[in-house]
Amino acid sequence: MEFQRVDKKAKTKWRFSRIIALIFAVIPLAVLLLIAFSAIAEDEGSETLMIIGWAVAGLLVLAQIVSIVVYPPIEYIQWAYLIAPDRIEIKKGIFYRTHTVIPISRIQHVAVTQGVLQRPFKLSTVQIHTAGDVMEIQELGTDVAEEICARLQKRVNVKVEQKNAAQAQSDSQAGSEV
Amino acid sequence: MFERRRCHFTHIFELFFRFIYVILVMAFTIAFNIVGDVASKEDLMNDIKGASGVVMSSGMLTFLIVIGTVLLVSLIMLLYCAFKWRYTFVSAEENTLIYESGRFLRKRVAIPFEKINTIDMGRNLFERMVGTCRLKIDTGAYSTKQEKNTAEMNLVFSLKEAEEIRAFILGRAELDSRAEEAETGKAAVEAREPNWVIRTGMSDFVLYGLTSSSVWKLFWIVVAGFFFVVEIAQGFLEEALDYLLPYIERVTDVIAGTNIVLIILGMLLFYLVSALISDIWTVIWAAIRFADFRVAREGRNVIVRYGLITVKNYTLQVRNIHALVIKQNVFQQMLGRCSVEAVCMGFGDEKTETALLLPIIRTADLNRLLGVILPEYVTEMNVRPRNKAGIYYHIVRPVVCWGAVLGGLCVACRAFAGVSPLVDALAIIAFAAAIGKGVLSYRNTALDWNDNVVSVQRGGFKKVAYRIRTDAVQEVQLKTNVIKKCFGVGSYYVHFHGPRLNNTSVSRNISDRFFADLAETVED
Repeated sequence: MEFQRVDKKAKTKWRFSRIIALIFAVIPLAVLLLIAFSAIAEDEGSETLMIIGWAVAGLLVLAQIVSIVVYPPIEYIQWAYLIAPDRIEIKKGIFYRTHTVIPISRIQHVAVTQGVLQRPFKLSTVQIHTAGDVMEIQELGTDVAEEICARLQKRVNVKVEQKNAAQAQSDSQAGSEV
Repeated sequence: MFERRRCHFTHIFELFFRFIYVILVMAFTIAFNIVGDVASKEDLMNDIKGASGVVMSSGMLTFLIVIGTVLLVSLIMLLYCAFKWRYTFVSAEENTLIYESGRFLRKRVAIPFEKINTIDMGRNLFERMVGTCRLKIDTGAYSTKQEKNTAEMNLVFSLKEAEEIRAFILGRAELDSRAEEAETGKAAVEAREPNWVIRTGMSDFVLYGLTSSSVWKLFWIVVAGFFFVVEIAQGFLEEALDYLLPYIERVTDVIAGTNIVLIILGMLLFYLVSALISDIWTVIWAAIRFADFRVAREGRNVIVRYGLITVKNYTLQVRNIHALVIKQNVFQQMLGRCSVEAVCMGFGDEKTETALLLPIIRTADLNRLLGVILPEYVTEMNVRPRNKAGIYYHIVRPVVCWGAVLGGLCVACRAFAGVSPLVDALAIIAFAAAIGKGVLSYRNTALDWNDNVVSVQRGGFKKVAYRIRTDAVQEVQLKTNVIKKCFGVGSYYVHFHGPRLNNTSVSRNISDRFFADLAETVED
C-alpha cells in the first residue's frame, strides 16, 4: 500500500482562493494601512514613517503573492493519506509534522463536505469522525471522496461485525467458565 | 421487572433544602430593604400607626413582614417539592429503567440497563438518620454531560429499596450482556457482601495527607479569608495600617539589615509550618471523606465504598472503564506510593468527584492489587529504550531557557535595584528546581503496549501514567518537526474514549521508531 496524494487540481484551487483573498482582503488592507500611515506621517512630518508604511503594506502583499506562487506545490507534497484494510493513516505538516493512525473499527461516521470554492474544481473534503475527534482529508476529487466514503462504510461494517462476533465468542467462553 | 413506584417521601425535604439558601438570601434582602425604607420613610410609618390606632413599633412590624413572607415562600416551595415528588415515578420494563416526572411538563426517560455506567448510592448525614439513600444512575450521555453535568436519575429511596433496584439493574445488565438463562441472573440478584480487596487504615491517610500536600490550597483560603476580612473591616484596617506602618517599615529595615541565610531559613520555616498545617488539614479531611475505603470486584462490576459522614457506594461496570490513571507527585515518587483513578464514562455528577480506585498504595503492590480488581489492566511497564536526543528536549532545552530567564532577571535586578542576594538565592533555587524537573520528566517519560493495554507515562514532579484499554483508543498520533525528525524523536498522542469525549494522553520526545508497532496493536 502506498501513501496517496490529494487531487492535482488542489493546487489550482488553493491559488484561486488565495487570489480572491488577495483582491478582496489583502490589497484593501494594504491600502488602508498606507492611508493611515500617510496621515500620521503628515502630522509628524517624518519621512521614515512613510517608508515603514510602504514596507509593511508591501510585505503583506508580497507574502500573499508568495503563498500563491510558491506555497501550493509544497503544500501539495505535505498531504498524504493511506486507506488500508484495517486503518487510515494521514500525514501532514511541513515544519510540524503529524502522523495520525485511525483504526477502522473506531470510526463513528464519515462525511463528505464541499465548499463553495471546491465546487467548480470538483473537489471535496472527507471528514472521518471518531468518538473524540474529527480528522479531515482535504481537496480530494469528489468521485474519489465518495468512493472512499462508500468503501469505508463497508469496511466499518465488516470490522464491527467481526469484532462483535469475537466479543460474543469470548463472552460465551467467560460465561461457561463461570 | 418492577412496578411503578415513587421515591421515599424524604425526597421532598431534600429537594426543599436546595431552596433554603435562596429563601434565606431573599429574607435578608427583604429585611434590609424594609429597614432602609423605614429609615427614610419614618413619617409614613407614623401615619400608618396613627391611622390604624394600633401601637406597634416599626421594628416589630418589619420582623412580622419578613417572617410572613419567608413562611409563605417556604410553604409554596414545599408544596412545589411535594408536587414534584408526587409525580415522579421509577419503573422497569424488560431491560430498561423508566423514569417519569412532571404533571404538566411530562418527561419520560428510558435508560437501557446495558447503557448504565455508574450506579452511585450515596448517603449523607440526614439520609443516614432517616435510613434512606440517594440513588444516582448515570449513563454519561453527551447531552446531559454537556449541559448540566448531572446524572440522569437522582432520587432518594429507602436503603432497602435502593439496594433492590441496584441488584435488579446489575442482575439484568449481567444477564443481557451474557445472554444466558435466568438462573445466573437470579444468583446475581441475591445481595451479598462483596469480597473486599483493600481497606484503608489511618496510616494510609496520614501518608496521603503528608504526600498530597495542598499548601497552595491553604494559601488561597488564607488569601480569600483576608479579603473577606478586608471587606468587612475596611475602615478599621485603614486605622490599623496607619498605626502599623512604622512597624512595617522597621521590619523591612530589619530584613535589609539581616543576613540572607537567616531570611531564607525564616522562609523555609514559614513554609514548613504552613505545610504542616495544611497536611494536618488534608489528613483530617481525607480521613473523614475516604474513611473505610473499600474496593471489590464482583463479577463484571467494581464496587467502591467509602465515607464517614457522607457514605458513597459506587458500582462501575468494568467494560465501561476505559483507562486507569496512576498518579504520583514528587513526595509519593520518593516514598514509592501511588494512587489509582479510573477513567469511565458518566462517573458522578459532582465536580470534585474522581473515580478513585486505590487512594494510596505501594507502587510495588500495584500489579498484585490490580490483578484482583482489574486483571485486564495488569502490565509490567517495559520502558522502551529511550532516545538520547530526548535528553536535549527534556533537560537541556528547558534548563537553558530557565537559566536565560532567571539570569536575565538577576541582571535586571542588579541594574535597577543594586545587588540583591535574596533575588539571586531565589533564582538559584528556581534553577535547581528546573534541572530537577527536567531530569524527572526525562526519567518518567515512557511508552509501552501489549494486546490489552497501552501505557503512556509522563510528567516531572507530577508523574501521571495512563493505562488505556486498547479498545478505547480512538487514534494515535505522532507529532514531530523538521529538527526532531533529524534526531528521530517525536511526541505520541493517544486519543481515547472517556468522560470528556476527547481525552488525550501525551508522551513527549521518545524515539519515533515505535509508532508503526503501536498503531498495529491498536488496530486489532
